[in-house]
Amino acid sequence: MLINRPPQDSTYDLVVVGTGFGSLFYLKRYQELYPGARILVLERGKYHTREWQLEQGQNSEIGYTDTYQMPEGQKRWSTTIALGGGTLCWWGITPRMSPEDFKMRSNFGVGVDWPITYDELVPYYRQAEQIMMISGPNDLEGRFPGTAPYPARPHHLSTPDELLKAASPNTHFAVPSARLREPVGSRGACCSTSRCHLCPMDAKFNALNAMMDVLGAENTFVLTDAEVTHLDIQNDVVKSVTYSHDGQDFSASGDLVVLGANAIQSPYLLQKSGDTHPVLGRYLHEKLSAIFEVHLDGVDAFDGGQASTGLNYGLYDSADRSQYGAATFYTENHWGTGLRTEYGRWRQILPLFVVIEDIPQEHNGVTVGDGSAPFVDHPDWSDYAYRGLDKVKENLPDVLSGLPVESVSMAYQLVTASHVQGTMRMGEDPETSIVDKDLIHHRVRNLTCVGTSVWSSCGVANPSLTAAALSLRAANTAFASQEDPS
Amino acid sequence: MIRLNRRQMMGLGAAAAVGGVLTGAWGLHRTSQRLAGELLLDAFPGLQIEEADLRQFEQDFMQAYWLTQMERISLRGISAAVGLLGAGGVSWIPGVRGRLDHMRRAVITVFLTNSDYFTLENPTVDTVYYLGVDKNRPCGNPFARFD
Ligand SMILES: Cc1cc2nc3c(=O)[nH]c(=O)nc-3n(C[C@H](O)[C@H](O)[C@H](O)COP(=O)(O)OP(=O)(O)OC[C@H]3O[C@@H](n4cnc5c(N)ncnc54)[C@H](O)[C@@H]3O)c2cc1C
Repeated sequence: MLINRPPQDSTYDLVVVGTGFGSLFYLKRYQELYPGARILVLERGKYHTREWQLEQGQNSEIGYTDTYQMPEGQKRWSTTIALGGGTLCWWGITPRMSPEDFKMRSNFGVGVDWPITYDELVPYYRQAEQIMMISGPNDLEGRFPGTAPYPARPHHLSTPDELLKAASPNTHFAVPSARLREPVGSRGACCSTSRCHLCPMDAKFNALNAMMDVLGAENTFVLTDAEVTHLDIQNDVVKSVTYSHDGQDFSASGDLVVLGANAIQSPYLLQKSGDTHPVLGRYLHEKLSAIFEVHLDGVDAFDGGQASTGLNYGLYDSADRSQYGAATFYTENHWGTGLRTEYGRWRQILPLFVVIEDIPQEHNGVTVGDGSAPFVDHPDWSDYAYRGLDKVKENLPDVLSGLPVESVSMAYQLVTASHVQGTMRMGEDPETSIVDKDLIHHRVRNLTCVGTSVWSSCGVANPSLTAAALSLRAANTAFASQEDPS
Repeated sequence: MIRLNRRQMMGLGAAAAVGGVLTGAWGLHRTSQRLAGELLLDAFPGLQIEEADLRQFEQDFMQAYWLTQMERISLRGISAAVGLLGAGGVSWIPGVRGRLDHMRRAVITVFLTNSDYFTLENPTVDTVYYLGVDKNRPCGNPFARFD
């Protein structure tokens, strides 16, 4: 239940930090497994109702970039601090990671392998897709085994998508997304707006329209405006969690602590708690992303059923990932860069949102800085990613051969893809990673770290579905190992 | 309803510009506002539009929420210069031509997607109504297919 004052009793079975994807999906599964458990959820941000968000034109009173520091001139990182975290601002795009993305070292000799395989995640991907009511196409099954059938029908492709699909049926697909095609409960049907962070129809999954039963459950106490400042770790055990609320410090203890404060705040909290592991905070990364524009001859665009309609793996499949980053692109169903200016040919243009994987680099990361806020240092993407971008420019015309293309050009490189990954990477070796395959801290065994901070390699997929699946799996495995300690 | 051709608009712009120089900031502001309308009429020869709609469009365009303050200031500067010297007179200034092309594209996009243009049988003959920029308009894409 939502509360607005610290509870008298400060001892819990579980203390959860944050209410984004990582935390919420863990919490949901944990509640199912331990129905009577007493749980405290500490959320730094406020509870901003949907009405408040629409009225204010923002998801939180705290800006995307207000909660960290960085050297001048560097790229920014976007995170939402509020009840619901990134579930509020996200655009709802939910591809799975490909099986190869988990095995970069074994398959391509670069980066590291995840300690977990695609196959191990499949049942949890399915559960997460079910919870979010993902709409998607059944023909993704060949690429992502275990997807078919998606809980909901895919959205309409646009005319350019239909041409691409006809020309390359195995590489072009309807975008899987957490936007409903038909209304369900209080969630409406997607109207293909291009303002998904403030979805006018409430079609997109978020914490407020689909997880309030979890946050409102009996014995679950959710305190907003409660900023966790550090964990008290003694003899490799989290003894308590300290947080500030209304200008006062409080502490709470739990048998288990789940840390899901986003990939910038989570490592910072651990650093402030005295964790000096050399890899903690390192390998911060995200995809390199750019907008391309394709001028079409005689084909009108923008008649699909959601904001991004097609997802194309043509560039991904042909990439030599030992040398450069693989890429995928989304066909955009909105005119963010503008319509064409030639009279009557306004819609003969297809914007592409291109994402290119990076190799996480050790020197990019989060440190304590002056102690007032995390200091994020990420001078640039790697050459591996930029070589990937060069390959996109070279190969895109071939991949688009199913379309009557007049010209292809890069409009601009984006400052951020809004995916903050790494900093508390998952791995088998406690020397080179922070958490194990079950998301448990290698040393502090009553601490589970969730969310996109645990990413070991970049991949090209939007990360939130995978974060949700990893959390569902982690809660399940913890339960199973408790039931059967052997 | 009025129909202004490009020359008349330029005339208006130029006249407003001269007035702007003489009467200071207000005139300059007005001139810069007119550029959006001028670019619009240039892009849609023969466009039938109510004068009030045109003025509203010009006003909305310059105040649009998607323009940053810096862009607005730089567009105002360029608009004022065009008002004084004409488009040809300023296109040699580094960066100005690109900015004008950019603005022209934005003008076309904002107008098409915030008017009833796409719903008209014959938009070259029928009057096109500018509906105003409403960032909360639930579904801004008239082409989207749902079922
Ligand atoms: C505009 C935008 C669009 C996006 N679109 C997509 C998309 O289409 N698909 C996709 O997969 N991803 C998308 N993302 C990314 C997605 O939002 C993130 O990947 C996801 O939210 C990460 O989940 P998380 O659990 O790691 O962190 P978050 O969801 O950010 O959750 C962190 C939580 O911790 C809280 N918190 C932080 N610090 C503290 C503290 N000290 N004490 C207590 N609580 C704290 C925060 O308020 C928040 O509730 C988008 C992001 C943005 C900004």
